[in-house]
Amino acid sequence: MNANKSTIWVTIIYTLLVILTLVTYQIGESGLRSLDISLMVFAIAIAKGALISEYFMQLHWVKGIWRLPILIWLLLLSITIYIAFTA
Amino acid sequence: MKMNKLTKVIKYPPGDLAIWIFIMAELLVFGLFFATYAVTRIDNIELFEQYQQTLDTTAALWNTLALISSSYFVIRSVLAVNANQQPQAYRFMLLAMLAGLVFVVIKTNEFAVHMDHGITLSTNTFYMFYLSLAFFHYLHVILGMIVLLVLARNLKRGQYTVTDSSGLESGASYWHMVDLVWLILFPLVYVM
Amino acid sequence: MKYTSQMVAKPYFIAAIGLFVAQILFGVIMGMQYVVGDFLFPEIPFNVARMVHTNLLIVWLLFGFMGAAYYMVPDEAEAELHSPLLAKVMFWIFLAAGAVTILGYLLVPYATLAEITMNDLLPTMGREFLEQPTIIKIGIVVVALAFLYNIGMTILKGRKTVINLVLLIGLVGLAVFFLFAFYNPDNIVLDKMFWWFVVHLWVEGVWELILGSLLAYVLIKTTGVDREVIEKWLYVIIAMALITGLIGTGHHFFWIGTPGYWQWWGSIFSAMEPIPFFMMTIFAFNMVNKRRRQHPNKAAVLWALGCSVMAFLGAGVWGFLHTLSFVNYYTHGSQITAAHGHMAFYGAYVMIVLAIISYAMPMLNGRKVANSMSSQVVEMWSFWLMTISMVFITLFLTAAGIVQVYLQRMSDDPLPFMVVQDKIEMFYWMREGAGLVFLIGLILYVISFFVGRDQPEAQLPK
Repeated sequence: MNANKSTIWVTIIYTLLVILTLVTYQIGESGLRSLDISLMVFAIAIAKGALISEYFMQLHWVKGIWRLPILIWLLLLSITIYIAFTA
Repeated sequence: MKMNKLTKVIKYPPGDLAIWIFIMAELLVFGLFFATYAVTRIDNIELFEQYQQTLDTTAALWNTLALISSSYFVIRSVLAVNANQQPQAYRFMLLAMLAGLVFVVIKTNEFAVHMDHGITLSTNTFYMFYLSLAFFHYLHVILGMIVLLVLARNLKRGQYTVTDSSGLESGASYWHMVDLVWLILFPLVYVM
Repeated sequence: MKYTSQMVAKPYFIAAIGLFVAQILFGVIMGMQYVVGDFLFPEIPFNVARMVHTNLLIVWLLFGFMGAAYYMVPDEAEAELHSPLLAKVMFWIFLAAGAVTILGYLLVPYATLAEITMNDLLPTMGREFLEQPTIIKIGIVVVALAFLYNIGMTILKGRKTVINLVLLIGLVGLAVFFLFAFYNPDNIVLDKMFWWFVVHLWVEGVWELILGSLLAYVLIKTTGVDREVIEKWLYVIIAMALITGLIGTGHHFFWIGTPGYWQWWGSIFSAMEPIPFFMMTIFAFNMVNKRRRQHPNKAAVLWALGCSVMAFLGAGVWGFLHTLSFVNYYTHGSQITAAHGHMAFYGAYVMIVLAIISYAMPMLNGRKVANSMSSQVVEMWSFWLMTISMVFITLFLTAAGIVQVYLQRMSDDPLPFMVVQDKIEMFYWMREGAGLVFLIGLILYVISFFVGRDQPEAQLPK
């Protein structure tokens, strides 16, 4: 029962990751290039990373500081990339 | 399993704490690499955008799908062990390795094409970064494949059980990290 | 001590300490020559003193590593050493080779030494740290092979532990990378590059494995923490040390004529080199906090903890200070490098050898586990004197380095080298003072072996 539930859950996450990947690819192929589009693409990547951290690495169910290492990494990376791309 | 996990307070991530320290150290290295890439790009935007166009985005798409799928199979394998379905867990681990292999084949081919074109680390700053990042990640995929191989062998021997799956979860966490890094690398280097 | 063959470690440890004293004497002489240029000239010219100072360091650390291996490997493998006789013979060969080399440096001009030892048959002399005559280098290889054979056979026949395995990998790496000392390409870029294969891949690569293994051993023995926990840490530490250390070699390739991408590779990976050292610090303190028992040998625990901290500061932090290529562009080969070199070698390698000597020597001298309290008190005094004076040596050299870099390389109106050297004379004097305190600490360390020998072993307070 529970096992079934979590397999359905990770399958939904997987589908979501695939869709987001295809969106990123389409943006790349469309030839549209602007700062806003770049930042959007990166935001999608960060969201995908968060999904991996939360559901594939199962940190969503960890309480306390150990839930955060990947999310903090993603946050710091986003800030760095945002600053570098808007500089 | 999700319900199980909700009923009790889990303080530590799945797998061994040592692997998490290692994952964090690895992410620090990749993070620094990404940051350096982005900062260097500031002064070379035209160069970066020009040579970005020469990369094979379609190959990268297939690679992304391969790694996401592989990661998915790995978590399914972990879940199967938690549900006491060892044979299924083993099959999922084989699928994960197959998907990983797809990545290795496509990426190797990409490197071969670059070499045919005479592109090296010294070609220009963009290629220096692209090749360094991609190759460093590629090495991680290969290391991860070895980890998966060990996990598959142990699964076949029935070494992991509901109560003792720390080794499996450690290896799985490492593989997810390899996937995670690629999910950032793909848009940053190929698309943005 | 469980195995009688562990006794072969003792002469190695004694030789190590003896050569350590000699190394520091030459260090103090050289420190003086920085400010009084013709001090002891022409008997001991600066270049000779420097060569002796650095070569002695390497040789005594190797003695320490070998002694440590001979003590630790049988204990870990739960088997007698394969051949104690071979170990004893190799000890005398190595000591004789070391003594002959140092005397050669001191007694005849270097060019003459090259001539008598027939360097032109297979030229390997003349490179910094690898100045030894070719014949001596061959001797080192022979000793290393015999040593590896002895250790390897012992490990093979006994219990296989991660600690022993990591040590063995480190020692094999040490021997393999030394082979590059024989490769002397005509192209000066390649020459420099392969020279670093020895120098860097030793101290920032395989030696770190030896360090990690010895540290883990001392911690297991003194804290009683589960082997499994210690091994997991060891895995993670060595993996990180290898990833960062091997590619981190690139930080030596910035200005020697190698392709430009080394600026990036070298900077990024060597910037990560502090991580394994930081892990070692966390590891050591964690294990001591989680200890299952008190160990009466307080001095050994102090050396182990001190090693993890000083290695992180000296190798990690002081290395990071000047490892990024755009910083190194200014600091390369300045007194900043000297500051880093001193604290890194002391923190990482001197202290780990002293830690294992401190742990093993009481047993080698027939004690049950520890020396008397009065001996340990003197030893701990020597720990603090040496460690604090090394911190000051490092700080003075760093200050000298910063001023040097500014006046000589960064200011709008750069001054010539020797003019700058005059201006930073004060720092050199202070460094020499700290060096003398270090020598006093070292003498105390030697004295500690002779204090309280007839007193009972230190006991744990009940």
